Amino acid sequence: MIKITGVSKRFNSKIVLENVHWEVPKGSIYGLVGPNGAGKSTLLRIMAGVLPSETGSITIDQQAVYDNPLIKRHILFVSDDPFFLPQSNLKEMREFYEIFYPHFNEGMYNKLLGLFRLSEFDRIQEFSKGMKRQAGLILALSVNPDVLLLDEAFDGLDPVMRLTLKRILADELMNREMTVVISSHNLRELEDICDRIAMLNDHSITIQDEIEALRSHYHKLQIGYTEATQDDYFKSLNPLHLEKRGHVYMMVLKGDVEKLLIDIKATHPVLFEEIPITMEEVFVYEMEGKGYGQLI
Amino acid sequence: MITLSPLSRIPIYQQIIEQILAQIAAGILSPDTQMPGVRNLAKDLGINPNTVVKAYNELERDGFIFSKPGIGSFVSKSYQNNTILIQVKMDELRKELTLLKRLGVKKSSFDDLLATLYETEEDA
Repeated sequence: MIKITGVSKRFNSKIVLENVHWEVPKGSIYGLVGPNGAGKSTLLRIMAGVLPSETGSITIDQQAVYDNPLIKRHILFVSDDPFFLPQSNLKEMREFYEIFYPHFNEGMYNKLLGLFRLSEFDRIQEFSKGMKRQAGLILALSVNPDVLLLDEAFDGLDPVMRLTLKRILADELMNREMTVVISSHNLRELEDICDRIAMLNDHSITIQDEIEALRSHYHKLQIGYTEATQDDYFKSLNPLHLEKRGHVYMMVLKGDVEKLLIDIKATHPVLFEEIPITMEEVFVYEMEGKGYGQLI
Repeated sequence: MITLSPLSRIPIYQQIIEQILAQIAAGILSPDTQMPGVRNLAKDLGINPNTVVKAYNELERDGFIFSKPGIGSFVSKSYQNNTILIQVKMDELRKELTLLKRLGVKKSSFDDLLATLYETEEDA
């Protein structure tokens, strides 16, 4: 398990992370979302032991990560702009990785090379952005890491390569116990492969839960009347989101709403529908509740 | 063969369940047929293996499939619990029929529809 306790980080005087608490269970695959500039990359870097935190602790299986080469052999971080030696090709990078990672799996490397359709001998410098990302993933996955941290892994890949990556991750999750954290803005894609979602916002983790639990925690309702006169009643329910189009209300409620639903049905709507909520909507409505991205 | 709809709001495990139930009902998946393995299905669809496990667990709980330890999951011989599927589909139908009724469709139209549907069925 990765345990983050009270982690804070500033760059100069600018607060990036403040009192972050987060637990990533072993074998889980966690999606990390948050608005631009929320500090997702910084958090991943601290988890990978690349950056020190100012306060708090990060442990993997109870061992501190920073300055701990033994643990770091089992953690792989793929940044959104992966590092390659100048002028190198993948073959040279593989040899470079083999020095630092004794678990480097050549069979896996060759398999991934084929799946991602990259040549071992072309200079990486001449790769496109997405191909560089693929090269970074090939190297990272070949190390058989216990912990894989992917910064915006999906965001630079084409749809076929995104599916390829998800398939590889699904396969690896069955083969061995690997813990994965993926930051992304693509919530649709995260929903496929992740079992949990965490949201980083206002410098700390504000939501962390299983996707299924989140799904049952938020309720998206569409309620229509022949005459729309329920404004005050619906506002009094403190919805996360409420909008009205003609005689139809759309409302997002949080928490246990069993009893509320009975009350709402008693107002005799002609249309009453609970619509399954997507993780993207959870993100949008939560952020909106905090005044982010609202139109003036 | 299961296909997920990336634009659907229905959770993935439910999409899997619904498609398997439809295939069992249609006879595409006949009794004692072996279900695709969790690993293969998760890999094919590019989804979390736990999602497949969840779908299979629910199907097993409701008696549609059974598992042989170490071998895999199989379609049950008589799925007595098909009342669940019938209930779900009846609810959907009720919703659609209510809408049609509001749109002014007369009962006789439904009668005709049902008559044709069931006659063709019996002829076959």
